[in-house]
Amino acid sequence: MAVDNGRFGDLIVLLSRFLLRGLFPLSLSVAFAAPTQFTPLPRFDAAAQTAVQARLTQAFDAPMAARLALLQHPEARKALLDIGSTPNAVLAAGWLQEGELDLWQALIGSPAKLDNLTSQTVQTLQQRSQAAQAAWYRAAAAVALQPLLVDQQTSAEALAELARSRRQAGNLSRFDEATTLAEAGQARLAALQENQEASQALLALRREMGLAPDTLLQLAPLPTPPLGIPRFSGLLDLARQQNLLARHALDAIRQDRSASEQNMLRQTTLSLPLFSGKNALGHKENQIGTRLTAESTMHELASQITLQESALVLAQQQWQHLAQEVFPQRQAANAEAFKHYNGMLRGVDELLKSRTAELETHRQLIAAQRDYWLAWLALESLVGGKLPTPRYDQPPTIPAPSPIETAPLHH
Amino acid sequence: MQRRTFLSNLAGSVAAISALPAAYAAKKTESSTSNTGQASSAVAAKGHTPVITLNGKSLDWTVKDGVKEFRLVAEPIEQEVAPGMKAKFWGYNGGSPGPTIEAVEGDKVRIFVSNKLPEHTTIHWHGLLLPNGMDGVGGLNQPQIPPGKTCVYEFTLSKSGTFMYHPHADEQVQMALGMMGLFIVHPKNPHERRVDRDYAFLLAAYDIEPDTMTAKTATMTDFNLWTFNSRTFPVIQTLVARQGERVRIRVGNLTMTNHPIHLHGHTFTVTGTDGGWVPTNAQWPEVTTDVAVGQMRVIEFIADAPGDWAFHCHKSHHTMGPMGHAVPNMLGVDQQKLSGHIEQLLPGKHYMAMGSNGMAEMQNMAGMGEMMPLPANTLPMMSGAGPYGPMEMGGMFTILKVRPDQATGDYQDPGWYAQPKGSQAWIID
Repeated sequence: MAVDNGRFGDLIVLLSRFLLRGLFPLSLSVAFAAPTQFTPLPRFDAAAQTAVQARLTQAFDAPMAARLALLQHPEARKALLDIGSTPNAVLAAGWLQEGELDLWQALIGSPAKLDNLTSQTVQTLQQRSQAAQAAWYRAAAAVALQPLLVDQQTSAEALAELARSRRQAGNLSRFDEATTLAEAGQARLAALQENQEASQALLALRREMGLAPDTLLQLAPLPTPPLGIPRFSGLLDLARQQNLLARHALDAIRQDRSASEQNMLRQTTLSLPLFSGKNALGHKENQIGTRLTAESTMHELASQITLQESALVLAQQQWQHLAQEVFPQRQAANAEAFKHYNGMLRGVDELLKSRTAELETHRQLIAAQRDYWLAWLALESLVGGKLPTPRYDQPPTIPAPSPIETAPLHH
Repeated sequence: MQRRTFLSNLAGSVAAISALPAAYAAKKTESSTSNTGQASSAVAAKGHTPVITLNGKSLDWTVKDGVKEFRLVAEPIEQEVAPGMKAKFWGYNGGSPGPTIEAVEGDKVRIFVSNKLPEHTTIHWHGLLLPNGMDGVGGLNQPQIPPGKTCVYEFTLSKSGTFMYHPHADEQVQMALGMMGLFIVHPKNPHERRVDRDYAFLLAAYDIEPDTMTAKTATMTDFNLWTFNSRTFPVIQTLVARQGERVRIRVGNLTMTNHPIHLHGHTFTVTGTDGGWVPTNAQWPEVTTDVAVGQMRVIEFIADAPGDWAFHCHKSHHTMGPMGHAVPNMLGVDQQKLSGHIEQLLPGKHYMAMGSNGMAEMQNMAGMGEMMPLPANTLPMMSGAGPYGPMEMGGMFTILKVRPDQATGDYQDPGWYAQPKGSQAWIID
């Protein structure tokens, strides 16, 4: 296919269609020249693989992507084998039923005491689940972005065509034509780059689900985030139970409690003997070190949960602001620009710029929608499983930047 | 889609014209008889020819102790500028311009000016010779009239002529919002300079963004509404005359640029300015007279040519409705590929390319209603439907209709002129 300025948008359309069908065959296929081929084992995963293929013929959402990944991805299947289970057994337990995914409850239950092997296996499955869901959100956003990217290309091409045709008619200087063509070219380049990133998101989803890169996928629409600022309670308590690092840390603290209590009773000199070469704590120093390491882990986890919760709030606010304020106004502005164009009050160049601004805001809206769910997933990852249902506070308006919080935060 | 292509798909230009909504068709039925109220009757009773203020009226008065008392109220108003477009103005007695003050040379007048504006104001009696303390320049000749207060002006009209009144306080704002009016002083002798019909209007320009109502008060050059008496064509009242009558038209300019006022089909002379009457031996024939900023021109002619004659400012953009000054020049531009892109970007919006062959098709487009929606509260760049198609006019434009059978004193619009056989231009190919 010849690529010239006039056909640029058409090329993008065709590429997008190939990508959505999993038929992107050329340059990117080199990295995936040998599609994943599993040989089903009847007692281990034959039934699961059949079920996965059947489920892939329908649209699926992020939780389902995780469910499918745990039956399909080699690392997850190995993990199941390590704990004495099989994909077939997991499938038989109703694993592919629709609904929210609570991996901890589904695999382990609560309370549970985990040995080291089981703990590592659970961690692997958690990571697989997280990776598949994150890839799904990125891919679903990519699918939603595809038509916008095509339109952005078309808009840039229209501005370029306007400049070329006006120059041809003797109505535009070379300076203005060159400036416009350069701007349009840059806009097309940016859209092409985003289009490639979107394509890679679809390939990444197949990879995280353990699917061949040419697998046909039908993704459910990217879900709309809830309105209001999510406020959680008890996240750290939940993390103490479900976050494997936290569990190890707490176990270490419990084991070391008596030793550390003794050490806390010792008095040290006021001048810190860091370089004295003396051992101030004597033979208990290793036990205290274990405790401090564990406390450090818990401290870090609590901080990260707080930070990530804050990131989720920010993502929600950004999405809601775009969804309720900016995007509707961009749509209204474009509708009004069309009326002004009809009245020869504004030119076709302004009409195009208005539409371009609307497309860009729509792109930001979808990206914000994606980022909200990625932030949600990141928080889930820290907590170690499904988040409790939050309370949603409604901000009256876009909040002004607040002073840096110095009061203690509680979860 | 190219607009020309679209139009050719219609049943024909006649069908397209008939499809124009009533709002965009010429509205030429407004009766001038509404102009002849008590004040005009009183003028006529004294033997003078009453002034017909286009789309306006003269101010009633009472006489107290031999003094004619007039009352003006300066106030915010809302007024239709054109069909489908209203503006928030500041005016007098509910209108912009304010009512015309008609009096007679030698009259002693007392004018009560009540201020219902949110800021102070004054009135300057433009061109009238009067005591310095009555000249109305706020701060110079008198204190400003505060909101809620009334000021009394009292003077004797020492000469006849054509004058104006307008604020001399915060002028940029108050005149940008329409505060102005005509002050006509008839000669003491009603037979002196007598005419059969006496029309008057003020030139005013506004900058009102489409889909807004309030004029921008800081605009100095880029106005988008060019008006006779704060109305644009086709709302501006038609001038009517019986063939052979002597007609006077008084024009005052309170815009910020000059206006070459042009009459078709007749030769006129400038018989007066705001400085007074022009001696006969100083007059010369014209078809266009330039009315500069702050000037008045009185033209007179014998309406000897029957027909419908255009009467307008000769600056072409002053006979247009609002148009974008930054719209790219599309003349001669092939928009075929561009249209394809835009139709893809704006599906279902009936996008039509325009400007490749000129802007005349614009008027038909403006009449397509929901299919080609315009912004709210504005008017098309071109409008007015004549007997032979769209007139593609707007702004400072109206029509002088001269008829042999128009009754004396009848100001009713006689309808379109029937061209005598063999007297109309024809298209051969």
